[in-house]
Amino acid sequence: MKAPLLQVDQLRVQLPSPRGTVHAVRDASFTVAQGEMLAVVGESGCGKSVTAQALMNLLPPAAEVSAAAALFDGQPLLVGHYPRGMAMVFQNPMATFNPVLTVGYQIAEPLRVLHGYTRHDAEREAVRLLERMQVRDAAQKAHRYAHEFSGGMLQRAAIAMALACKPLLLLADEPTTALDVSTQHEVMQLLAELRSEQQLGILFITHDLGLVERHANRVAVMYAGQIIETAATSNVISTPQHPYTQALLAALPAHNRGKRLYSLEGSPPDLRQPPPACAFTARCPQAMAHCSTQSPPVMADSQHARCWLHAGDLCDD
Amino acid sequence: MTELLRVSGLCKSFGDSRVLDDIHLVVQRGEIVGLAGESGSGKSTLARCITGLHTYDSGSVHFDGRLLPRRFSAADFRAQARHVQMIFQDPLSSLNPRLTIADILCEPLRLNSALPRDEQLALATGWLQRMGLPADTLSRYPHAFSGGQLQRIGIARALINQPQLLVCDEPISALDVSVQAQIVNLLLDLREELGLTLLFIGHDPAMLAYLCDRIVTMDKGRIADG
Repeated sequence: MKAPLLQVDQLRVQLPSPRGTVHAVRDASFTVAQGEMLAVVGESGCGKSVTAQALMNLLPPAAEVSAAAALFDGQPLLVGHYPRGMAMVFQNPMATFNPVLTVGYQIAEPLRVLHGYTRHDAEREAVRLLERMQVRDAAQKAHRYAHEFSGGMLQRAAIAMALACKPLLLLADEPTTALDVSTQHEVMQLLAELRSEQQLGILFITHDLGLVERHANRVAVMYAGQIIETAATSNVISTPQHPYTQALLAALPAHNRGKRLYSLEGSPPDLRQPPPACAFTARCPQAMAHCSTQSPPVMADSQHARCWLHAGDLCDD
Repeated sequence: MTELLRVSGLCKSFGDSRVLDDIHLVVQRGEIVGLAGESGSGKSTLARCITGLHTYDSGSVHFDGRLLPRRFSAADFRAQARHVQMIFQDPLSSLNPRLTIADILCEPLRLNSALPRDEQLALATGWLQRMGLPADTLSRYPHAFSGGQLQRIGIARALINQPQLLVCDEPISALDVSVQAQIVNLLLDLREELGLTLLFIGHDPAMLAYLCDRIVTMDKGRIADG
């Protein structure tokens, strides 16, 4: 089998804070293949964005990032500079663009700087990228500023800017959360097309399992800095193994018409002092006595759920 | 069921662009009506006309059989605030950062009744419990809370004077999916207990279908169906 585009083993990120070190990512391992969309799903504060920022080398210098192995397109990653071939799209497109430069100029910039385009060629290519992202009147729009765009259109321009880096892997950090549902769907559709056209790998971060149901190949569910379940999207949706994944699904209205929505009480644990064993124990409706004292093994079956419920008789008591 | 809100032939323009065009909408007491539509379709503007935050060009709004003025005076706002309240998408920006939660919750009581402070605080504590928030919430400031907690504080403030109609302008769009479920369950329980009527603006069709008795879709300032 061909090596995956991105392979990360036991990624660990520690962020210093005034009140103690935050263990933001704790031994997360995942892969993204060419042309694949891996969705990273979880609540706010579970380490999803920090994972992406660590890959992009966007964390502050004081952050401690380490991994047992981190390879991107055969090259070592996390070596202290921005990785070529990777581009990122953020949640708020308005904050992505410089307000005093035209959108077209900013899309052309990586083409000139990274790929040696002349100014003229870069501008022409920027318009083409905007057209590819279905921005109407792209030639005129390229001369406009970010505040003259609507949110959905500007997010598509932000993806065009990311594509100007000619990436093999796109990191998308909640790119649709701030958008309308209909616009959300258009953006997801465009990402799906890029995946099949250019064999672009996509790491898609979201808190909404429903959103990725139709578009992601695989899902990694993240909780308290750990990946607690990872499997093919259809398996995660139809037979979620980890109680946390089950809770995320039970909160979706589309899956629970006519039933009371399940709302998970409480919030993820403080990652300055992460719980010693399973981090979900405190909120888990099915928690058992040993859950808070012994870490569950990572199951080697197809779904890799990190939970004692699926560990059979491996437990000591 | 009896009629609580009737909007007839409401039109509004900002400059040359017409944002609301001949809107007719009736909401029955105890009903949850969803207002759907894309950004810019006029949902929020309509909600603001109903609550007196915007004036409008023509048409009328009746609440509980009374015709509401097109332009609210300070006295109208005060009178209507007992009956209609609103919650917003961004709960942090709708709470005053320099007031404690106790002051935020007691303010509507102070303006509308002569309750002594300790009884106001008792009421506020009761509402916080009802919202599932810890007791020490009262002495803290808005920045100390998460988005879901702030939205619940916003709901407590809106309901503390027991209004009949709660207008919700995308109150869950900015929240995590699991927190969205908490807020939606809470709103359904409150309807059950208090007979509250809700006008709920949202853009997620699945969530609207789950929560609402009836959905009205707006498109370019007009009502498309419903």
